[in-house]
This record gives sequence, C-alpha cells and structure tokens, in this order.
Amino acid sequence: MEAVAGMEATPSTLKSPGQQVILRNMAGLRAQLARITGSSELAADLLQDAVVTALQKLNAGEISDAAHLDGYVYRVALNHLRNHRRKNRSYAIDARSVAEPTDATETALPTESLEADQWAQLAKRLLQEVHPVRDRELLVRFYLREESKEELCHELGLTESHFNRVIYRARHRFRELLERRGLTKSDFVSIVAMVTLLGHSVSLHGIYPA
Amino acid sequence: MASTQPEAEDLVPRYLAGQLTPAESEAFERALSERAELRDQTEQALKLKEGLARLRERGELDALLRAPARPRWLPYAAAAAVAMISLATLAWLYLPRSASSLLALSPQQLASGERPPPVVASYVLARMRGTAPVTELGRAGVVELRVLPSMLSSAVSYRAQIRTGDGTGRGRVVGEVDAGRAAADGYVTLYLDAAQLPPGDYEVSLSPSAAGPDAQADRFPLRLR
Repeated sequence: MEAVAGMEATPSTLKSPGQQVILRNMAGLRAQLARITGSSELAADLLQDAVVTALQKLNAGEISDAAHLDGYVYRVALNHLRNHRRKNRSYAIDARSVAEPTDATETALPTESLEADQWAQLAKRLLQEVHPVRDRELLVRFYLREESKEELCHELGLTESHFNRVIYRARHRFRELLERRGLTKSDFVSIVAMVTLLGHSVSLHGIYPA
Repeated sequence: MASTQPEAEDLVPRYLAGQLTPAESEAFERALSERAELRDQTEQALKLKEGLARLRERGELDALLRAPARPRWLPYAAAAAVAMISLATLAWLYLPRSASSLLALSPQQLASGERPPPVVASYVLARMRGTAPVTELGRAGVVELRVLPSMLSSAVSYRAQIRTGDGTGRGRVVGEVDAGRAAADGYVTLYLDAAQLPPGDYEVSLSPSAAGPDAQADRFPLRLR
C-alpha cells in the first residue's frame, strides 16, 4: 500500500505548497527491522527517523525533487537495517547455524503479524510449487540463510544459469502471489501509522515552521 | 559494473545479505532512491525473507525441504492397477463381446472397421412341431439368422436374444437386440457374430417387445462348433 502523507501543512519542506508526497510501502522493510532489532517499536522509530532525515534533506535543498522523497526515505531506512545487522552479530545468518533468530512476532503489532503470516503462507506455497527439492533448498539457503551464489552453485552442483533461472522464476512467482492477494501494497494501518509518525516526527524535530 | 545492474536476478538479495562490495552497495542504493521498481523488488525480497523466517519459526520449513514421502498405499495401489489392467485385457481377449455387439440387425453393426464383415452363412429358424432341432453353426464369422415368428403380426415389435443354452431357457444372455417388426416376407433377420462366442450350446429367442419376461418366446437351439 502506498502511504500518502499530506504535506500541505509543511510549506517550508516543499517548493510547491499543497504538493503531496507519496511514501511507498515499507512493510517488508519494517518487518525485517523488527526482526533484527527484536522490537517492533524500535523498527517504527527507525522508519520514523528515516522520514525525518529525508524531510530535513528536502528542507535543506539536498533533495531536489520531492518526488524522490520516498526513494530517499527507503534508502535511509534500508541503511538502518544494514547498520543494525552489522551491530547485531547474534542475528544468525550462517547456513550451518542452528541458532534461533529473534522472534519478531513477540513485539509485533497484530496487523503486522497477520501480514507477515500471509507472506509466510505465500512463501510456503511458492516452495511447494518449486521442483525439484534441491531448488527449494537453493531458495531457502539464498534468501533466508544468505549463503552466496558461488557457494550454493558449488555445493549443489548447479550452473550459474540454472541458479539465475530458479531465482528469476521464484521472484516472479512470489510477486504474482503477492499481487493476487493484494499484498504488494501495504495495509491501511500502515498508512495511518506512517502519516501519524510523520506528523509526530516533524513536530518533534521542529521542521514545521512556527 | 555488471553485478550492480538492477536487472541482475540476484542483486537485491545479495545486497540485503551484505554480499556486495561497498562500491556496488553505493551504486545499488543510488539506483534504489531513483527507481521505484527496484524498491518494489527489494520489498518483495524482504517479504519473502520474512515469510521464510516465519516458516522456520513455526517448524514448517524442514518438512518443505524434504522430498515428499511416497505414500504407504502407493505400492498396493500400483499392484491393484496392474491387476485390473491385466484382468481387463484378458476379458477383452477371451470373453464374449458385450451383448449388444454380438447380435445385430445388419453386418455393418458388427463391424470393427469401416467395412462390414462378410456373412459366411445364412440360416432360417422356424418353429416346428415336436422337439426343435439343434442348428449347428460354424464359428468362422458373421452368420445370418432369418427367424420366422410363430405369432406373426405386422404390428408387433420383437426382441431377440441369444443365451447360453441348457434347454431350460434360463441361460446367461450373451447378446440381445431390439429386432423391430418382421419384414414383408414375415421374417425377422438377425446377424450373429459367431466368431466371438466360444463353442457350445446356445439358444436364440424371439419374443414380442411389449410382453413381459414370462411371455411365450420362440426358442431355437444352436450349437457352435
């Protein structure tokens, strides 16, 4: 879902008063942030920080076109994800690790949990459709355990073209499944949350003119 | 830098896994902030990662990564299927054809191809006083049977049957046909595919269609050699 953040009340942040800024769906990013930080609240704070940072850049003229604001927000939020991953070494990503990852559902909002459960259902269906089993293993080890392409091709005896084909099909199929369920767009709660956070952060950081 | 082209299938997951070089990551992020479709791809990859992580937490992932176990009943089902196919083949080869395909109103109706089979013999069956004689037939092919009903009426439709014969009229029906009305010469003409019947005694009967099963029928004993 796209979050439409009404910016009419912040003329100083925009060159064209009355312009609206589209903040795109970040549900997947939010879920991963929650998983890595172990806190849904912290994930929301990080997204909020990304929005505020982007608005500050926009205000400072470092973002030339407000239409690029959502891209900048996403980039900043993704950077938060990467930084937290670096910090949080306990986030088990090694293929041979048996450590349980942080259970993001413990602190997730019910709507977020529901959304993630739907992704899980689609991921399950995707895996069930993939044959042979070796290709399923490839997907899990690549996406979830984050093993490298070279390592996987070597261990599973695959050519690079076969690897790319499996990834390509899986990616497109998962997209199809998401679209069919209407999950390429975020839910309404995400819109409300984003707008609320935006207003909150803006007032906190004094971006609104007095 | 080929590996940082957004079109590369594995680019997004590699970026998310921290597998790109700093320069590649920088290029990716620059492209990310400019290209909405790349952000969509990134979101989808993140959703897939989260979905897989959920499956792992629920303990469902291992089962999905195992080859589906062959059901226990599968060997039995396969054996049963083979047995049924064998029986069906044997039945097709050795048992008489269905009732409707043994007895017909024309040779064409007994044909397996486009051309009607040749009629190898013709017999007239008519009731006579005393014990009915047994008509002996060869099994070389299609035989014409011209049956003269004892109750001759142009208004009556007949039903013809051939059954295994034990002299009681209660043998197993192996062929039957709605014979219609008698022709102008008074005969009801039938065609029997004798080659499809094993040697033995049989009985051809002709009775009015409208009559019940206990109605008096004309019976003609046959013996196939």
